[in-house]
Amino acid sequence: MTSFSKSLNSLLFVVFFSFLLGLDCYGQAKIAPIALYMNDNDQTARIVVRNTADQPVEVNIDLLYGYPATNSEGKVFLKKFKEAPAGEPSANSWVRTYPRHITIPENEQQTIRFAARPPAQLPDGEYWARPAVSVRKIGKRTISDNGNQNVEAKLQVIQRTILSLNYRKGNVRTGVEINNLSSRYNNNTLYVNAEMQRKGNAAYLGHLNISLIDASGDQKKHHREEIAVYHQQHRQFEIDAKGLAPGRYQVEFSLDTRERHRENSDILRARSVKKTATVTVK
Amino acid sequence: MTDKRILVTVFLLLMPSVIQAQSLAVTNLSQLSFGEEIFPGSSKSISRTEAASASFEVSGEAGREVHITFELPQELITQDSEVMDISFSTTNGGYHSLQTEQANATAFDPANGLITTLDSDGSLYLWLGGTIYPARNQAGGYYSADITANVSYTTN
Repeated sequence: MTSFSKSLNSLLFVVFFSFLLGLDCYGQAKIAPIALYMNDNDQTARIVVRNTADQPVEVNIDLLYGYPATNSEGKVFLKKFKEAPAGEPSANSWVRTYPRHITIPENEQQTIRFAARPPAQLPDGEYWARPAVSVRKIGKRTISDNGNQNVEAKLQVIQRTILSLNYRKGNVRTGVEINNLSSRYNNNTLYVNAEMQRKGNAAYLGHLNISLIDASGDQKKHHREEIAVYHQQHRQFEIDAKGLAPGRYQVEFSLDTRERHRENSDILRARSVKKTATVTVK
Repeated sequence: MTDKRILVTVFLLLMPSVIQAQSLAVTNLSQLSFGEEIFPGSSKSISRTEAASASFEVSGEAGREVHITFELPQELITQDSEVMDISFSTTNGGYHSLQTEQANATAFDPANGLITTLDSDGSLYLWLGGTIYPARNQAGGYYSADITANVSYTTN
């Protein structure tokens, strides 16, 4: 075993052991990781569900289909389908979950495995699924001794965490194109609108940057966030622009995958893209 | 100390943030409870600012955007299959980054869900109220139903 492998094993052990110890535990169940990546060379993935509640929980795992999309206000939401529409790159029919239903006693955990068996003639590309992990507390329902004369009403909450699963077959590539960039200023807020169209055959997972540059070339505002473009997005960003001097500014809108790829080699690299627009602050 | 021990020590120090970054959870802190003072023929409402509202904590990676939706019941049911209607108004949902700010929570429509960003601690608090409609001849008993809270990041 190489020194690097030993270090990696140490890391994995510590990650696992820390999970067992429940560092920073939250929720009636804690689920990790929340993003799964599989490919032809590694057709299995696993998550760990840890029950942090003070009573047993019932856990069900379903495979949904979905991806981030944008609503009429330009905000991102997870568009979910019980069954993938025709033509979508769904992995749901050939990814299996083991087990799909479990009961986990308090302060214990269970590993859930996902195994992919893609059809032999599957074209190269990335295929998606959304494992949905539903957790419900069992028992401890307190029914008051009212002789069944009174009416009593309560609602119990089922926690459902929706994960991402991306399976890559053969040659996969990604990129993004920025279209129809525009910007306007109103009442101390800078509104930036842009359309982003994914290129290639895999989701674009990167960072988005919006910079506001004044006439002397100084950056006056900066906004950065993670972005995932599975098909296309029509976004609107609202940036607080209080205190900006009146004048003409350049809006730089760029996307890159560098940092996310550096942090996680499962993130595909892509060419950085940038477009600019102008806006006048009054 | 050997290099390996140094490495493991560093990992141990970093691990809470690594685990936090990799997970996402919803905790149901309290249930939506209409209590026992429910009278046949009289609707009863619990607002998002009341102690009897349901409360949740969403925990995840600081600064990341989350999408939260609810699958809301239209009726409550007893073990004997007696039913009672329930509804949720467009302002029955509330959210804030601080648990102590229930009274000042921003309203949202639970039927439409919520898209927002986790604060610098990776936390978000939600409250949910509702209204039940006991019939004039509503049978006595314990009525219950499930609310499913879906939570996901808007990116991988």
